[in-house]
This record gives sequence, structure tokens and C-alpha cells, in this order.
Amino acid sequence: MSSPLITIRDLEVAFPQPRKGLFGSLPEPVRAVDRVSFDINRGETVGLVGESGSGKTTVGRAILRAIDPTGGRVTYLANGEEVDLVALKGEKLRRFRPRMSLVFQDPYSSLNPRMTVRDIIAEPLVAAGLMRDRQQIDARVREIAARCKLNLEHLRRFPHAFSGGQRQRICIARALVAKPDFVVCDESVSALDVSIQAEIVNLLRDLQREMGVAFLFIAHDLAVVARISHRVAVMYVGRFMEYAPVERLFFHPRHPYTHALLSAIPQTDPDAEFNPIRLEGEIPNPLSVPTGCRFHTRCPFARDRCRSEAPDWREIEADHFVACHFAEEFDFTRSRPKG
Amino acid sequence: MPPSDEQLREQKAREKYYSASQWTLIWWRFRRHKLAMVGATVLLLMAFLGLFAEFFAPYGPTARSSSYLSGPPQVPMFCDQNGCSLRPFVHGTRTERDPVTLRARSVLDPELRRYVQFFVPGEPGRLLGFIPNSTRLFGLEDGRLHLWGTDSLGRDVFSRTIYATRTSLSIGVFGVLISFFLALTIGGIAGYFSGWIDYLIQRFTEIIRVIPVIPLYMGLAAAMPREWSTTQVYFAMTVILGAVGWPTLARRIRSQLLSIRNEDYVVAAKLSGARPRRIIANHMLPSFTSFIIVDLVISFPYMILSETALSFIGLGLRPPAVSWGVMLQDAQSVRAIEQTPWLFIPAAFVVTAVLAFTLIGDGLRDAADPYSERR
Amino acid sequence: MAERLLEIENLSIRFATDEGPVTPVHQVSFGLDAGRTLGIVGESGSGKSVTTKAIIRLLPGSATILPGSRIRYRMRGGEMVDVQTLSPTARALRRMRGGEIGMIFQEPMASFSPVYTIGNQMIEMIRLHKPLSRRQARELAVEMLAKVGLSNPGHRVDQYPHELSGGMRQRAMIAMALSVGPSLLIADEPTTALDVTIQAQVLDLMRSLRDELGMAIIFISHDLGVINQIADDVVVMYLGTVVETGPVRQVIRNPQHPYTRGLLQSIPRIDTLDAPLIPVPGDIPSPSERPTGCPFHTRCPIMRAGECDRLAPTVREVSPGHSVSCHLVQAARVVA
Repeated sequence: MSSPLITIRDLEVAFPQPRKGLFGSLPEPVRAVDRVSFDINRGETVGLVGESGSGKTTVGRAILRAIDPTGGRVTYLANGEEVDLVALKGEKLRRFRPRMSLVFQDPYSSLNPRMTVRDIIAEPLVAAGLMRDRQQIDARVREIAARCKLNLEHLRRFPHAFSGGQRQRICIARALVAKPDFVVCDESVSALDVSIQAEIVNLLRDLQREMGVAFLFIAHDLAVVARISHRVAVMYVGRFMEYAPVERLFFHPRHPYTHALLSAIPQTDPDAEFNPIRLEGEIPNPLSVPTGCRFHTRCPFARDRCRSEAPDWREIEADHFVACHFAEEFDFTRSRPKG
Repeated sequence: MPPSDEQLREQKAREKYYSASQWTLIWWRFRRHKLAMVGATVLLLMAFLGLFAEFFAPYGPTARSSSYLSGPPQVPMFCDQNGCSLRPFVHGTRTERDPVTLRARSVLDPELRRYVQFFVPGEPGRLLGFIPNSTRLFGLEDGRLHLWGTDSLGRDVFSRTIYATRTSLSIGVFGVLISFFLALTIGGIAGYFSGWIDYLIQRFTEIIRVIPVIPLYMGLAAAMPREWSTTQVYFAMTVILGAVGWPTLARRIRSQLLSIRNEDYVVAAKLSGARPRRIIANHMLPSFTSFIIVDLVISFPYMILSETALSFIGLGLRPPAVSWGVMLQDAQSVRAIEQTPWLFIPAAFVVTAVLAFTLIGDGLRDAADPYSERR
Repeated sequence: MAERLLEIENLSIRFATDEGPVTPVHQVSFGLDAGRTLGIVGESGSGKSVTTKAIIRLLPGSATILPGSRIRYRMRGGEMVDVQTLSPTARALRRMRGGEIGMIFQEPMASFSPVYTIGNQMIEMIRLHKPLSRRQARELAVEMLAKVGLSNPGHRVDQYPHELSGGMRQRAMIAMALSVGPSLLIADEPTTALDVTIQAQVLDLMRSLRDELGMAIIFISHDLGVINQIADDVVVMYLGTVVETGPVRQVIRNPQHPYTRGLLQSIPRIDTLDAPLIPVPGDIPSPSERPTGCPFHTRCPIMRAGECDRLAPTVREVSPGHSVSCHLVQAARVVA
């Protein structure tokens, strides 16, 4: 097993709520992410799945310090030294930023339309002052652009010349140009057409193999996440429900929510059975989180204990974490197709 | 199969589009807007006339023809009862006494032909303030040509309108620049820092906005000492106009900044370790300059109208300065409408200028975001 | 065999744009029997939404239906109307829209007005097409809301659209579209904006309502998985043309067109993690740069130069009801 790159312990992000009226009392802040702990290893892809309002985007942004966490520790192990990302401030934080980067969901709004592709890709090098020599920068930009399968003739063009898939490759090139150890892909393929999606997923996998970068791959689409991730975390209303290697999570899930999510994916195989677990009701609003286990309002297996007592985050098997009181009782093993 | 000429040409055109910068795209789209192009042409023409007033206007703004008071426009003609001529001419005047009131008045003498000539010598002046020039575009060899008539003091309305164009347009420019500077500073601070600074500035802006404009103008104008020179009054006017005009613009700048701050590409720049100054200069400012320019162009007419209105009611520029408003002041009375309607010609300029600015603003607004339709 | 409800023949639609005319729909033909569910699958620019908008003549002003196109719809009385010849104010068109043909969209907020309550909008809609009093219409609205599984429908009926969550709004929209008992429901990506667990609920709901009310559905989606779950037949569209059509099961089990095959291979499956993900190479051309010949030839792995890039393929039937538009498919017989 490779060594951990980032360890996240009890990460918490709370957003203050606006005062009700001019003199009203200050309401409780909303905990978009509530005590989340996991590790990301060097060169590995961790998938993070969740439905809307689960806080998965916030986790990614908090690690990158695009949002300031309100609690917990994020430790980054670089060259044998430990850096506490939550404590970094000002100039130190700015200097640390090039080691991590972000690929956005919308390939349109994430590229500055007023810069050429070459300047966009070069921006992280120039902005952080990593390189000053023009030729050196050019060489680096061309190298990464070629790796991302961009046509080098097109570097002088502006983003409006490109389609969604090509734009996303530009975004990936920009994210990787400064050779970061860690990249967050936030729904980076969700906005693309299916036939293009596969290409970007394959590209990310190839780049990881070549460059050894670790990805946090955030998506709502489990099938895509399964294709790229080594380990997958399932998130629900601010908490992690389950975290396990992809094989285990997809074929031997322990949490009823993971099981329900998997069963709800409509498959293209006409012979595969499609009996989605009926989850009652709607995803709770983070403003009013249910007591006890957050999932109890929709869980088909909920018991009294689930309503009153929040389950611990525990390692049920080696490298398989789950937050459910009765995980041992559940066996949701899915059958694999023959062949 | 080698590509044909046509394919190559198309390829080239496409490449040109793909590597076109923001301003090129804006210009391409603006060019398609026919009315805006008309507006721009008209305005450029006006600015050109005003800028080179010492060449286009046959006489100075205060030069008087004492023999042709409140004289009607002289339209150059080619024929009269004495036959035709290839060169345009006007009739000269002679002084006559009114048989009833016994007042001296000038009447046209159909027997006197004065030929219109081009590039005639005139009073020496300085083009753009430094190029000495004593040639005028047109005039008469003998006597004076009053294309658009004269006012009650015998001053040439055509020449004065051209000088007024310069004054009014430039007051608009300076007024807009001053309010833009104020708006950029105040709105920029509010939008960039947000939080309680933003809150304070917003409330302050609202206070400025609710003050009724006309009484404010009147108060400020009344505070100007009477003994100030024309130049001083002129600058005071621009400052007043600028000081009153900024709040709307400041709000726009603030909201633009707030929305751009959360654009993905700005977040990307921040996450790649760019300093705030770089983020503002390279990512935020370029993306909203086009919108600001639109706003500036749209706020021009208000400046011009304000100046005209103030001067018209006698609170703005004062003679001997000439602006459209000052000129229209002479046309205030019912008598003027009845007897000297040509004094209203500057009003046509005001209308044309405001219309032109509005058309340009319209075209620019459509063109300013060249990326909007490609989503 | 059930009777034909809708027959689209040779439908071409042209849009006037700043860059010149664009043809997002090009000689599209398909049919739908009463009570059946037809899935239309396609990626961006495939013209799937435009095609269905033409059925109810909801195209924007810059669009024209080209001559030779034919859209025939069987009204409830039994007569077939040629939709493309109807005047925009025709009574038949008004009866179709909302009455005989219900519509639901991806973004429910777009079809509800934010300033009226859900109930108000449903009542107005019901009374437009049914001779009911306000009271009766309201009762029907509450009944429909209950039918789509909204809890406490008597209370929901007086709520504003923004007070509902995304899934509830989508249900309310379905309730509204179905409240007048349409014989055809057009659903344009109705579950795309929803989370998977909610999507499963909505699909479930649509299936049971279809069985209960016996209407036909045109279900548009980019997701073949969803189409597989709900549709009987599928139309695969690419750049404004139908490349393959047939019973869902057959098209998925035995895809004939290289695009359909590519699409199926590029969809990640969850029943196995080992199968490689094979992307369709290249990019989808923009509608203004429609390739000549077969529209897919720029990305086709088995493209035959001189044929595919020159000639538009004809429609061939490979087995009853399953036809494909490709030069390289050995066909049982050539249709049209």
C-alpha cells in the first residue's frame, strides 16, 4: 500500500446563517460538512459520491482551502514534513497552493474567455511565480497540453473556439501544469456528453499513471466514480456513510444508503434486474438535520436506536469504514454477471 | 485529395475567429448593429466638427454682425429672378428704416449677389489650441454668411452651434470621467472588500441617490461665485455633474465585481496561488471593462441633458461661454419661437447627440458580452 | 396491434441564425402507437428536443418546418391532423397542447409560474380543458397530487413552487400534466436534474401512472440506462438524424449502427468494474458544421471513404421494427 498524502480528521465546515430580521438572534450555523475523516494516498483516486446537499463539493473545496474549514485537521505530507492545511494563512497558504488544484464541473465558466489557451494553461506557473522564463513556460505548457491530447496548433486560440470536451482537457492541463500532488475533480465529467465523458475519464486515468497525482473525484454518478476510483466514500447530508475500496463498496456494501444508491442506477443491460430500494421521502435539508443517524428518515431498516443515537464512524473490516449501528447484520452483496 | 481554395479560405476565416480576442469579437458584433453604427458615425462627425471648430465655423462664437440682427438663415441658392449661376450665392443685405416703427432693420437685397467661397481667410485662430489657422471652410469674400441666421445680437448661429457642440460634448466627457473615477473607487472598494465596508458604502450611496437632483444642482450652482471666470465655471460644472452621476455607476461596478468574484475562473486563479492584485488586474477587470464602457456610454446623454437643462435655466454655464444649453436660453421666449425659430437649431443637436449615444449604447450592450451565446 | 397515435415523416427543421441557416433536425421519421412508450436518446445537438417541440408546434419564431415534412397526430375523436399545416392559432392545436398532449420538462421551475400557487396553476389548466367548476377542479388537483405521491396534498396545493424540493416539484409537474388525462405525454429529460434515488422514485411513478392511465409517452433522455428502464421502443438520434430505431431490448442487445455501439461501450456499467470504457473518438460536430454524407462518418471507426462521407445512408430494416441508417449494415430489406 502506498503512503498517505493527505489525512483528514474531523473536518468541519459550517456556514453562518443570516440573522432573522435586523435584531433577531443569530441562528445556528449550518454544518455542510460534519466531522469527516478519511485518508488520500499518494497517486490514488478517492471517489466521493453523494446526492445534492450532501456537502461533497464543500469537502473538496475545504481541503483546497477555497473555503475555510471551521474545525478539524487536514494534514498534508510533503517531502517528509507535515503541513496542517487548516492552519495555513496568508503568504504561506498562497505559496502552498500550487501543490494542489481543482478541475471544475462547468468547462465554460472555468476558463477565462479573455485569455488564450496558452495563457490559461500557463497561469498557475506564472501566478504563483514558479517559472519566469518565457521559453521554459512555453515548453512546460506544450508538454502538458500534449499529454492532455490537445492540438498544439490551437494554443493561440481563445476558449470560445472549443467544445465542452476540449475545454475540459484545457482545464485538466491547467490543473496539472504545476505538477501538483493532489487534484480535486469536482463533477468534472458530469456536464459532458456520454461519448465524451468516457474519453475524459480515460485521460484522467492515464495522466495519473504517468504523473502519480492523487485525485479526489467528486461526482453524483456512481458508475463513473467506479471506473476511476481506488477507494470510494459515500456522503449523505454532511457525513460520510461508508468508505471502502471500490470493489468492496460496489459489491459488498454495508450501509443501507450505499445499497440503495447502487440499486437506483438505471442500467443499460436489459436483463439486469432493476428493483430500486424505495427510499421514502426527500433528502433532508442541511438546515434541519435529523437526530440520530441522518439517514433514519429514509432508511428501510431504521430502528429506534437509529432515531436517537448517531452511529460511530468505525472500521468494520480492514480499510472498510462505515457509519451504521447494524452494519454487521447487513449483507448487500450483489451478484456479478457471469463472464 | 488536396483542399480546394475555398476550403483553405474557410479554414483561414475560422482560424481568425478562433484566435480573435475579446475586443475583436465585440467589434465584429458591434459592426453588425446597423443603427449603432449610424449613431457612432453621427457622433464622430459631431466630435470632429467640435474639435476643429476653428476651421468649420466661419466666425468666432462672439463675433457680431451688427447689420444683421435676428437675421433669418441665408440659404445658398443657384437661381434668383436675375437668372442662374453655377456657383452658389446668397443675397446681400442693406439697411432700411421701417416705415411704421422707424426702426432700422436689415433687409435682403435681391440685387446683391454674394458668392459662397471655400477655404476663405478668416480671423486667425488655433486649431486644437495650438495649430495656427486662419483659413475657414467656407464664407463670403465680402460680408458675412449666416447659414442658420443670427441671434438678437447678430452672432452667427451656425458658428456658435459648432462651438457649443465642443463645449457640451466635452462637458459630457469630463463629467462622465469624473463620475466614472468616483464610481470605480467607491464601487470597487465596496465590491472587493464586501462585508461591513460594503454595507456602509451602500447606505451612503442610497443617501446620495435619494437627494432630489434639481434642487441639488440649484444649490451647488448657486454656490458658485458670480465672479468666477468662464473656465472656472466650466470645470465646476463638470465636477458637479460628475459628483451627482456616480451612484448608479458605482452600484453597477459593485454588483459586477461581486458576481465576477465567484466566477469559476477567478476561483481557479486564486487556487493557483495568484496574488489579489493579479486576480483583479488579469481576471476581474478585463471581464467587466466592456460592461463598464456600455454604462459609460449610456450615462453620457444624462450628462449632456443635465448640462443643457442647467444652462437653460441659467444655473450652468454663463455667456460668453457657449453650449447648447446657453444657446437655447436665448430661445426661451414665445417671441423667439414666433419670430426667430432658427434659434432652436441647437435643440436638434441635443436630440441627435442623445439619440446617437443611446443607439451606440444599445449596440454596445448587445456586443459587450461576446461569449453569452456560445453556451 | 394498437392504432397509430403519431406518425412523423421526413421531418426537417431549419433555424435562421446569425451564422446562416442551421438544420438541427434532418429528415427524421418515426411513429408511435397509442399506449406505447418511445424513448428518444441522443447527445447534445442531436435534435431530440427540437423534434418533440415540433409535434406541438412550440418551435421558436426563427424555426421553419421544411416542406416535405409531415407530422400526423390522431386526435381523440379519431381524425388524423397534419400538425405542420395547422395555423398557430388553430383550435386543434390548442386542444392538443396541454389537453391531449401533456408536457414535462427537465426544469420544473420553468413550467410553473413562481407567483401563483401550484393549485392555482393546476386548476387553471384543468378548467381550460375540462368542463369543471373551480371546486371540482381543485378536488381533481388534490387527487392528482396525492396520486403522484406528494404527502399532504391538501396542504401542498396551496404552496408556491419554490416551497417544494426538486423532486416534489417534478412530481407536481407530472401531476399537472396528467390532470387532464392526455393521450400522449412528452417528457423532456424529466429526471436529469434529479438525484438517483429521487430519479428512481420518479421513474417508478411514471411507469405506474402509464399503466394506470394507458397513455403513450415520448421520453427524451441522454441516458440509455433510463430509456432502458422505461421505454418499449427507442429512437437513437445523432446530429439531427435517426441513426437507429427499434425495440429497446433489441437495440441494446444487438446494436447495428456504429454510433449506438459506441454509445453503449462508452457508458460505464456498475455490474462489472473491469470492462474497458471505450470512448467514441473525436468531438460532436456543431450543428452549423454538419458533415456531408452520413453525419457520423467523422467519428466512425469503420468509415468507408468515398461512400460514407459522400452519400447519405438509406434506412434499412434489419429485423421487423428494427431499422438502421448505415451504409455498412447488411439489411434484410431497404425501407424507403
